[in-house]
Amino acid sequence: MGLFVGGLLTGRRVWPRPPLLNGALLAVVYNLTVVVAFFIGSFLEILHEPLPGLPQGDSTFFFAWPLAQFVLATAGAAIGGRMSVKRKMEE
Amino acid sequence: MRIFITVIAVIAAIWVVPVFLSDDTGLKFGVSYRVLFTLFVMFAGFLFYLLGAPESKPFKSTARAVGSAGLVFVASIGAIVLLANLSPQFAFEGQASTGASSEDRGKAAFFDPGVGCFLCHVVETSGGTRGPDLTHVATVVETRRQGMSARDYLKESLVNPGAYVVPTFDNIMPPFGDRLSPEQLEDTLAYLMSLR
Amino acid sequence: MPPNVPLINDRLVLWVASELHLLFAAFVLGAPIFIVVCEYLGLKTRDQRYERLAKETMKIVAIAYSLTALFGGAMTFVLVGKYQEFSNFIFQRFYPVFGLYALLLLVESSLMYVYWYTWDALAGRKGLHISIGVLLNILGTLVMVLMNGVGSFMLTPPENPAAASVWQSLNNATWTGLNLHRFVANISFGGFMVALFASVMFLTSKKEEDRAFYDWMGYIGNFIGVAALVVLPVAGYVYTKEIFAYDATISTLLMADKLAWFFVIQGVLVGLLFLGAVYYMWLSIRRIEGGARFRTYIRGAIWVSLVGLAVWLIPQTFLPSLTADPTGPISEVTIPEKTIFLGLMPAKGLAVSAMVVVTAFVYLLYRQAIATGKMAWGRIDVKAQLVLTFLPAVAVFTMAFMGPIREMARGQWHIFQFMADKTPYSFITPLGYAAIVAGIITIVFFLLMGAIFWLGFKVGQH
Repeated sequence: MGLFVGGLLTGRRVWPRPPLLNGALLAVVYNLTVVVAFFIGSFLEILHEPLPGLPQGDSTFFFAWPLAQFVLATAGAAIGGRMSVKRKMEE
Repeated sequence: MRIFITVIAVIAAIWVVPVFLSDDTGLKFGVSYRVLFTLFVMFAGFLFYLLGAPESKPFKSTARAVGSAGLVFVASIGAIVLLANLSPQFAFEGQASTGASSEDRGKAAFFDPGVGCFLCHVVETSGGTRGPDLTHVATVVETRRQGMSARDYLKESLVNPGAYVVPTFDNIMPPFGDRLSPEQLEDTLAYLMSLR
Repeated sequence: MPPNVPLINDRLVLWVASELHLLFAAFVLGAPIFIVVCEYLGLKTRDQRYERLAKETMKIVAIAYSLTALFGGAMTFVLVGKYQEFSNFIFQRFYPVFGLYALLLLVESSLMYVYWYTWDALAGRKGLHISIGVLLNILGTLVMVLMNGVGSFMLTPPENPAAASVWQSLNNATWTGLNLHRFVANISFGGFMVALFASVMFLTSKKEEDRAFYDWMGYIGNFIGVAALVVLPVAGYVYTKEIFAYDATISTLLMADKLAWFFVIQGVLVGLLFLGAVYYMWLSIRRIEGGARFRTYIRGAIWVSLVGLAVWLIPQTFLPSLTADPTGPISEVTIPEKTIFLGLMPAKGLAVSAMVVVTAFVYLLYRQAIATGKMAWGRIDVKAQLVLTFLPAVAVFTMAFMGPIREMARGQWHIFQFMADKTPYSFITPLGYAAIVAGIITIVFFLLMGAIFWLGFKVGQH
């Protein structure tokens, strides 16, 4: 959700340059940060097993979450850009 | 050149560092892993070399061009087939033994891929970990449920596994009542009862 | 090979016939999807290149179609001749399905010929021509879906298969997963094959304008191949999850027992595909004015993909199966304690997702570069054309390799837990053997495709 809104905001701000990239870049950076945090946490064995809210042995979350984030952030940026176009047209 | 030196340095580290690590660190990668990492680093080095390579001149003739494409094709497939053949291989499975005793036949059924018990249950060091360890199952389940003998418990587990699920395990065991003939069922129970 | 089993045996013949059928079928189903899309884009954008791409590819499809049917027939003959108990059951159970399949094939073939032969005649009525193409694709997909039902029934039949209805047999636990995975994989396959044609035509073109066109065609083919590729790990995961939900023993066989190392090799293959795709982008972006500034990002993407691939590849153990005895100390072949999490699904899932996300990101970068810079089609580094040979080779091999994984997941059953395979060939083949057979099938497939291609493009020109 946060990424979607973030994408929206950056999309509005950077128009007329194509905003897709910013949403995507946001998602990539965020995803990679969390992945690294997860790996470090697993290595140091400080993570809760299983992660809160997940059933034991579930791995769908780890597949679906990063992809969903990427799609949402990019879509958010695209929509944000389009909203910005409308706003600029009105000015 | 820089890439080559880096690759050599990393490979050296892969082979030298574990020697100085003790087993307690939990980080000591065995020989097989070091070989895997070495191959991987060599591949990465090759990839970075390609990234830095200057633009290639166009091919001098069509024959050379198509020949190069063909060579890339055959080499890629060949490399993968070679890798697959160098990877760990299991032996061709033999026929399940018929065995003289009920217990022997039960053991063959347990480890028979067509039945599949070992895929989820460990006995000694062989088997999977999705289900409970069965190495001493006959002793363990004797007092698991009030009024139920070990043999009855085991039979229920085979025929109706969902009736009682060991805590911390999921209810994923398929029922074997239909998969095993009555004789096989008895043989399997005989084997399980021998695991004290 | 175990003793008493000849090197060329019934199972091997069936293996080769069915895989060749599947590879050609994947092509004739996947390529028309984007042939029609390209035809539509050509109409919309008035860019003649789309029209040319669509038409040239359709020529290949039209010829490949008959080979698909030929191998399908060969496969059926082996089944009926050598696996009679199984064939009797399957053809009786699925009689209406096969009847419908035959009817749909008839209609589809006719439509395909109509689509191809009216291409020029309907040039003024593109809407109608495209509609025929859309219908062709719908029929093709239906045909595949029907056979997927039969194939998935073998692995995950409904409870009490003897008494199940045709619909229950068709609509089994893994029908949806298989449909999804194969549908997307076909598109990717079609894309990569088009990229291959383009690269061969590029390398053999004499004229600058032809090279410019084939460079563009290779890019489009590769783009489609990779776009579908990024969805495949998810589709594959959905499929495997359905298998796990149906019966955990099958998925344990796949991931922890004899087929575990098959998946390590699969990891290598998919990793090569992603890295190859990004490398192609690296080479491509050079020919765009102002594209060089994106190279740092691409390099970063390659680093992420390499780390992701390393994590994906790390096995829990080097033992080839759950019942194998280690020949040396167990610590040499098992993952160290503190790194166990690297061998489990969450780490693998994150690694794959990271690779997918950065690859998608690089493609977005590329679109940005095209939008803001000037593209010089035809001036691409020849290495890029070799990459476009590498990618289809690996993609086809992956498909040829995954086939036996799926079939051997059934173990010693023709129909899981219902009809046993009593032939001497019911064993799961070791990894090396399966890879060799897949390699031979891949090469045979490309030789046949090469012949079709030569027939379609070179013979006509002389």
